[in-house]
Amino acid sequence: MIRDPRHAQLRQLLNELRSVQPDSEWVKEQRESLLRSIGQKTVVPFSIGDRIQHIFQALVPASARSFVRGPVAAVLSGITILIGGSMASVSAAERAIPGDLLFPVKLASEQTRLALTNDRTERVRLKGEFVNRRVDEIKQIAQTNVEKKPERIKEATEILRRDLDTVKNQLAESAQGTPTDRAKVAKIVDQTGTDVVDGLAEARLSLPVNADIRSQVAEVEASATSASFKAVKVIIDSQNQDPSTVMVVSKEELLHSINQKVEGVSEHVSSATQQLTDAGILSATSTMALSASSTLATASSSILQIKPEITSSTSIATASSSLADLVSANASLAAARVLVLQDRLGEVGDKLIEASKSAASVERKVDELIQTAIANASSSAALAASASTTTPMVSSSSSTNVQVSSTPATTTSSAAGTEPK
Amino acid sequence: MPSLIDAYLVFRIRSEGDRDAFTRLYDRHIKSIYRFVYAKLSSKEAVEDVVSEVFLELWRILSQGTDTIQSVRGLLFQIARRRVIDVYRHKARRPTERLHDQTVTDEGGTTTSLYEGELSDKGVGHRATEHKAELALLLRHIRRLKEDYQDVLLLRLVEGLSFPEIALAINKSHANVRVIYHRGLALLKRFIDE
Repeated sequence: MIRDPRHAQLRQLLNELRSVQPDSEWVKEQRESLLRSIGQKTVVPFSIGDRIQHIFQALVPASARSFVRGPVAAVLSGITILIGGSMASVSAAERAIPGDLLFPVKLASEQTRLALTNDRTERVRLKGEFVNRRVDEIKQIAQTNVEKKPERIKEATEILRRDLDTVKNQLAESAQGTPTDRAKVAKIVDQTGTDVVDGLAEARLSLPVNADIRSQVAEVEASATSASFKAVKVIIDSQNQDPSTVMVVSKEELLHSINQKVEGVSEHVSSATQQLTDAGILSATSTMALSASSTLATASSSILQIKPEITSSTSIATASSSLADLVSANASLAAARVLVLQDRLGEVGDKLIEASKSAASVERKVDELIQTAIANASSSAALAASASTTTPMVSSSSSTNVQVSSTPATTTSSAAGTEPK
Repeated sequence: MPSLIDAYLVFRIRSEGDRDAFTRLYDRHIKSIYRFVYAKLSSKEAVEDVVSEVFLELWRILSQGTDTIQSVRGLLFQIARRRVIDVYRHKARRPTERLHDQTVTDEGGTTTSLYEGELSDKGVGHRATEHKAELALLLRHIRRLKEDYQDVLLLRLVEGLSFPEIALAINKSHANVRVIYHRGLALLKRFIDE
């Protein structure tokens, strides 16, 4: 994936701001001054037993306490005892990220809180928050200096995918409720899905350039996107069943949500197009023609220009197929826009999912082609390629009569993902 | 999102008036609030005043109120924003006294930053001095944005708040926050490009 240089600068500047801290002397003085201002009150020291009870009372609604027996109460006590019952330990568990020793404790405490929540909508809301925690953890892994990043990201994306599946199940189960309840649940699921997609886009700014990681993140992003689309369908259904559900999600909010998704998919398709161009598979002049045409038939071979250097039959087949995918993505996106204009909102989701899948397929094929090119070239040629400015994508010459790409070859090298991390 | 620890500390403050619990809340959030207010005001004295007022108000709300607190962080930033806007309004009424960040507030309370000038380096207190130039650059860019845009970007990109928490802090809907975020980010990137 091409790294936007502005992202690096923005990231650096944000890091500078994050490092701003108040003077520690001032913090101490402030603390004391605040304590003086809020007046004197005796502090009652509390035992570990008290702590467990207080946490329990703080977190469990009164209505649910009588239901807590056996396993759940044991889990809660067990966790507290396991981590020593101290605030520092609870705090450490809360800060744990995938791959940390205390991470399972964090997950267990989340499960406990879910188990103690009886109201369906509240449970979905809570689960949505936990899903956002998974995204924050991925961002943290990406942005901080931890060891074993690829393994942690793999674990984090797997857990996120599982959690998203749970959210989708919750959405499906809500079918048993009233249209208003369904709409409430669907609204939360839609927001959660979109937040996940946004969060992962941010995380991607800092993730190592690695095809495996990229495909793991893409997969979970697709899952989040599909959760949002399913939720939108449920909202539309609920509104058709019971118009009073517009109190939960207004028509404007619904339309806004759908338009956001259309724009999101449009960006995805543009990004896939850019990757094809930067990898030298597609000439710059072709991209404009492609986005204008929406069927493969009109995008004839005179428009689709493939670099002459791609000569192996497998590579040509992959490259052609990626172009076909791109045309298909553009077609689906155009169809989605038309459906929005026609107010056939329930059908938009499927078209957007088609477009997304096609764009993701393009990205996968670009990765394949680049990896093939790297495998074919010798390692010294690959090093020379990263330094030189006239690098063929595959080391062979061809006299195929096609237009030479005007994209500079240095972008090919950086698209190859060979930069050290 | 409601943190286990924060929920517990709030419980202690409400049920027992526990000052220790309040101290722990202070320790957990002081850096974050300081950083946020610093990004918006930069004058050391103003930042310190606002931050201490924020925690005093937090104590008042926690010890006297009964409403459920969804998120202590969200509440803290909500208070901080209000205090910062008060500072802008106060300065706007006294035009001879200029803030380092030169802001203008209209009657609707919308503040626009007309950023000129530099970061204050009066006395000790800011430890970012060795990277002051880069920081000044970023703050200059951020302060070109409207108030809401500044806050959403700072809360999201620097403090790492979730969209629901940001919505609580700036009193807007989740959907609105997302729109502001995307537009703000696009603008910020464009400013950096220039």
